[in-house]
Amino acid sequence: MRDGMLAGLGVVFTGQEATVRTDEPGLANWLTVQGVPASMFEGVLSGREPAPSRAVAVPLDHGRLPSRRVLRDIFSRSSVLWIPLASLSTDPQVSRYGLEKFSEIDIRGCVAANRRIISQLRLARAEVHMTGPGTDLTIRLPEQLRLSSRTRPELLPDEHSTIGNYFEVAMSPTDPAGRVDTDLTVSGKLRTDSVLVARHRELTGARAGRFGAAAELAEKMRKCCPLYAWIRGNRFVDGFGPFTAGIHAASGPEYRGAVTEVAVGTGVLSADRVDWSLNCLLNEGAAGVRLGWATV
Amino acid sequence: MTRTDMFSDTPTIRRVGSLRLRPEPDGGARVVDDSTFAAAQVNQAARILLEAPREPCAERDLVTPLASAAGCSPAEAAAPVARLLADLAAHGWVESS
Repeated sequence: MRDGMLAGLGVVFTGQEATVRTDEPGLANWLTVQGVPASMFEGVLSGREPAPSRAVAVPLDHGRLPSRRVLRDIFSRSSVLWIPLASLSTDPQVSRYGLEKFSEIDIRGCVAANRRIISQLRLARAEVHMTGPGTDLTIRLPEQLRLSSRTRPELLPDEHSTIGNYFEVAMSPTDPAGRVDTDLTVSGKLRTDSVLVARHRELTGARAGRFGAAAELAEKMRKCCPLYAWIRGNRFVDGFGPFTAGIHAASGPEYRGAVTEVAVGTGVLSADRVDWSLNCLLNEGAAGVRLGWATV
Repeated sequence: MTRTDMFSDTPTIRRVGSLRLRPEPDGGARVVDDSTFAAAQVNQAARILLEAPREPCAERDLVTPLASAAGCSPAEAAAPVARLLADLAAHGWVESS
């Protein structure tokens, strides 16, 4: 794990040393035992230590940390790779799994794959097809295509990036208000090998309260995978059977089954190395197609 | 020197690995270089040269298909091919070893 982790971080930080910062003492100890430099956020947050020039930020529980804006200010002069494991799971076992997966991924290869996919999308005419066992999707492309992806492996001196951007090329057919795009559309059949639930750390109120129910639902769905979903014009219309009502309840009335994200994962891992039963951030980017239906 | 001696047989020319092509109905192609994200529309002659094998190939291997497409002799195609290869090399889309 150590060699792969340090190799990956070496790519991100151009060969210069970076320290993992976390809010979970057990994780910091585990990394240190593995030979990966790690310490707690607390030293920097309390002012006892200066913010490091380079850091890998691995929060496991957002409730233990200041707001994102405050953290951004504290680390404003630092180059930071964010691995927000807390967005999907606060379980230390899952976090160790996630970091092990990170150490197995070829960062340069992912970014190169991102660039190839972006080029192919630029070359595409009106639509692209994504097919595989049990999957046959047609994605109609707009004239102006907005993509989210990392196209440069190295971080600049005061640049922050989240790990997810390294492992995917993502498009959003639905905006945060639930308005479905009529120019970028997804239709077809999708074989679902896993279901993940992510929580935006700044989500408050009723929507934030839905995460627990969504996570429980996702765990039940994972046990029934593979599932076969049908999508028509950016909306999931069939395939989740008894889980459908729960999905709509967790997603919120403004979405009504809308597809909020289409992404191609480039964080390639061998199929036998991925534990699809876990709600883990690093499973998001495992190679394949990801459709999102809401962010909670 | 015979006509067949005009072209190099040494495989030295190769299309760069980052180039993606999509043939167009007019015989040209749309090109995107994923190392720079530069994009262009190229004509048929350039497409023929850019569709050359990824492995190094000899100049002769490029002149012959271009001459055939243009309906001229390989000797007549030699100079235009050389100029076109120089243009493509200037864009960073082919390389010589």
